[in-house]
Amino acid sequence: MSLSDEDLNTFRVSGVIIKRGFVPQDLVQRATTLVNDWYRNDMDRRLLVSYTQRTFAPDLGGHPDLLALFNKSGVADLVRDLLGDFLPVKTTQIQIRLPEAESGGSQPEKGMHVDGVSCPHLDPTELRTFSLLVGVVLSDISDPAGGALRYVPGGHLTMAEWFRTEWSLGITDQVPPQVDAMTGTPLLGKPGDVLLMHHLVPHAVGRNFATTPRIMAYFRVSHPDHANRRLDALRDPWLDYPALSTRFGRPVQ
Amino acid sequence: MSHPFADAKTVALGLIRPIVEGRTVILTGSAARSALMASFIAEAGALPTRVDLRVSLPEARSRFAAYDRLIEHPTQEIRQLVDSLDPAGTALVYAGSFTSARQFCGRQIIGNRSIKSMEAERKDVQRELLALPGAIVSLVDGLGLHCGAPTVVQGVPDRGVAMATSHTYLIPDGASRGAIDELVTKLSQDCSRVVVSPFNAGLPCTFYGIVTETTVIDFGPVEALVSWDPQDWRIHAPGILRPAMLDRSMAESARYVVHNVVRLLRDRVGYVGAFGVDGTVTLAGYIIHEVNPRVCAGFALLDQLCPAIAPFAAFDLVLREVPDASGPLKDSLERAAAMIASNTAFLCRLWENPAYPPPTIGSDVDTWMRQVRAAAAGNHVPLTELKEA
Repeated sequence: MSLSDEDLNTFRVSGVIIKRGFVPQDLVQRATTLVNDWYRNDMDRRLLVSYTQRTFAPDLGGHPDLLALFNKSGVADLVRDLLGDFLPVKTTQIQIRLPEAESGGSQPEKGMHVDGVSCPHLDPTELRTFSLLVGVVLSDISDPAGGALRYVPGGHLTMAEWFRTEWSLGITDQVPPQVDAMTGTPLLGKPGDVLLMHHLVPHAVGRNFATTPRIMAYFRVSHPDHANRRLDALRDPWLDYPALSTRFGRPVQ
Repeated sequence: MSHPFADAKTVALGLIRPIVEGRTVILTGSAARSALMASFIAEAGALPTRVDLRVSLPEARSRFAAYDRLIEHPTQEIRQLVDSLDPAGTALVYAGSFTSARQFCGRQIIGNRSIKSMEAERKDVQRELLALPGAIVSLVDGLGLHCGAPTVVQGVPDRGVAMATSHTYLIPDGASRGAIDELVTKLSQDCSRVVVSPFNAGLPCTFYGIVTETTVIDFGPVEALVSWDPQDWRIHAPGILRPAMLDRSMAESARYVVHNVVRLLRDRVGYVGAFGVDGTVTLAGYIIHEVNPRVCAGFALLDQLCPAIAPFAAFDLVLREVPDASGPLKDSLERAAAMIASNTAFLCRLWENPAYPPPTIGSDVDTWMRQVRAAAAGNHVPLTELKEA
């Protein structure tokens, strides 16, 4: 399985591609069973803030049934079309937005941000960036107010410009004001849908006013050289995407 | 329960009646030929009368600009006609949703929009006001394009607003510097600035709706029939087709984005009334290209879908003219919108062939849709076929 020219062009322009119904249902079923069991039986609601900042079901991060969503579904092949080589994916982040009726409003919202930069719970001089965020939908997300991830198409170019011209390491602002004011596009979908999102696309997540939890599995994928050039990769959106650069020439910035 | 369209119309009539009842209402400009609006005005207890400004320009932007010029500066002949129809000088005037003029031949215009709302239709203003994608570039500096990828350029006329893709061009991949310079020269005739944005491949899609003081109501997505002329690079939008074939997740996500941008428009310029939002459904979601704060040509399809009720322009008129109309209209309009959204009838509207037939019962709808797209595109390239960089 590989990305089409339309996929690649959309990624170049928007920094995002959504592949509907991409992950086979048997893999989705095994993963959702695992996460749902943890949610029902093992979740400690006192740790909701920590789960939200890091991951839900932290003990399941390396479980083969979750990693299979990336490694055995064909998703890894799609990622290769974008990044070329990448470091092995060894852990899954599970993000759940609890229904408000269950959380009582205690689950923190996340404003517009890019992952790994100026995280409120981290030292602002520390970068925990990567190249590509892969999300697999594990619950029905039909309501934008149901805790859907919201992203800004094309925001990777805006952010790279901001990082180049205005931002410096240690600044606590996560995004420029015009991005902060955006509500973004909600990711709605069904279990098995896949999101491929450039690491510089700003995104946010809000409260879940639906009646069921919203569940996503995320994989953070890094180009092999990313760790040695995190700052440069913030300022040049195509540094980690040699395959795209080769195909299109140097994409617009 | 009564029919929601009938409810909405009854409410609208009740709201506008105190303003127009017993008076002459002159329909002019783009509204002069609207039989539906004349009927609505008459039902509200007014005497509708028409003043045709006799503008027959085929291109929308030129036509609307000519209407506005004549409304602001009527000829002696028009003045005499208006005075003969309304010797007391007490008539009201309805000149359509586009105009921001306040008076016509000394008579008050109703249902016009504010100058601020008119300004908000400018593509450069929208970029900043509504955070739409694209960079504003001064033509004096040249376009500065590398042309490694298809690029959309929208001219921003120095006077008036661009309408119906009047200034929209798609520069193809690998275009020569000379050809781009030619386009710059052409745009420079009436534009100092352009908006430059990447081309979003996908399904062109438009949402029509109504924004009130308290809510945004949309009437569901329609496919915008958009084509590209490879000779002069101009984009054309010769019609629309409904229903747009979108999966539910994509449609709901797009609706959310549309409602947000329209709320922003209302909150920042105080606009209430009809709107049209143009964009493209891409693999990354719905990308908005522009917002038109007025009744757009596509509203004719809604009127076609709900015949003999009220023109949708009537709700635009009432919301603009009657303070606090939102509360009374909201529920019935929302129910009407839900009814339209659930109507799966296939219909199209080609501006140059409004009577293009719908598919016959039992016919192959896919074939019909292909035929409509081909008829709309003519000898141009349908935008849906431009998928690659």
